[in-house]
Amino acid sequence: VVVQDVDGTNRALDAGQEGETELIAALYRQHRSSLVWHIRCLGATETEAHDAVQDAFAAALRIGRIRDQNAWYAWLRTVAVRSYRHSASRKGDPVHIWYVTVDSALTADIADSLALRVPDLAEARLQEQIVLDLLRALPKRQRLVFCLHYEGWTTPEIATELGMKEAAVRKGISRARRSLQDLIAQGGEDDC
Amino acid sequence: MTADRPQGLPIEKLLQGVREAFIARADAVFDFDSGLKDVYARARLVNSRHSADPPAADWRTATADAVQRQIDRLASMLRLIDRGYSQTAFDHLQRAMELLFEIRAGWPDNRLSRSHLMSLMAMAADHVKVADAALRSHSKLSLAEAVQTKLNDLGPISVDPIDELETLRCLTQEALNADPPAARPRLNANRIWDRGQGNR
Repeated sequence: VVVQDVDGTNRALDAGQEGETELIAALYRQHRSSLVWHIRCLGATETEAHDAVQDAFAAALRIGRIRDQNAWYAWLRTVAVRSYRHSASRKGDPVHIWYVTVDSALTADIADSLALRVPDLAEARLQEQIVLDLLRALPKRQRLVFCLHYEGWTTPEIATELGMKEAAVRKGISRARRSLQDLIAQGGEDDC
Repeated sequence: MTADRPQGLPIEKLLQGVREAFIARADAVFDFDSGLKDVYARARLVNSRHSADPPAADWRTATADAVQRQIDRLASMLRLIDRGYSQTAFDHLQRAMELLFEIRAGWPDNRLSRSHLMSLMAMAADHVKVADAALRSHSKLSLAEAVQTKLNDLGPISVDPIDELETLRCLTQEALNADPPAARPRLNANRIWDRGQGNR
């Protein structure tokens, strides 16, 4: 593999660097979409999330040697979140609006969406929008905890990642779940 | 990310299902080669393995820029309509913008299929039309008039998002139908194709 620096100079990568290039490509294919979803859950648009994830992988490339591959997802996620927050604050927008009004008509659709077996693109988009709206209605900490939780992180892993006690993580998950269920129920009642 | 994953609860199942569907869909339509090329560019490196031949790359950049700039123009108009006009219109315009940004994010190298692109475009147009109808019903203003009201400080600029959507549709079709660079004259750099300030 030959890389070209910004001044146009070509230089060949050694075996270690070339292996790393392949590794970055593999990491990109493996994690890019899940990272985009994670950033979207924080309130980013698809484009903002895409940009933040691209920046995170660019930062990974600049850093160089990849040592602990298992730690890369968390590292990339952290950098992507920072990149999103930085770009949002640079644009002058509020970095996060932690509480938003959830359209009850949307949440009322959730029961229908659960029954969908093979949703077409429009239905899939609607489901995504419903879930994103629901998550955005949660306070920041609860949202972060719950996102990691349903992405498959264990309670101890979340506690370590966010610097919280495990009891606080469990409480956050429980409260988030209750809030989400209330929102869904509220949507269902409004629909009647 | 292992072990005690609580999959049995309905809310978690719903969220996991939607997340997995999003990832599967994004993996299926996203152009990873172009994405990696962009990553290298952002890292201020160019990887020969992910570089296209220059003329084709220039041409693709020009067509992508034209579409992306039109999306930016349209989104900047739609963004002017806040909740104060109509919550329903606002919601539909937000969804239209999401779809437009999906087109923009997936455009590089035209790897989104034509049918997918046009489907996204049609869905965005539907949302804009519903927003227009909601505004007319709620505020007695068309979408174009509402945008114009917001822009009145800038003078008599004619702005109609529905017309702009049609322009975007034409630009997209032109880009999809266009011959490769070798078979057509070079694009006029002074027209809409001239390079803008980037994607953002």
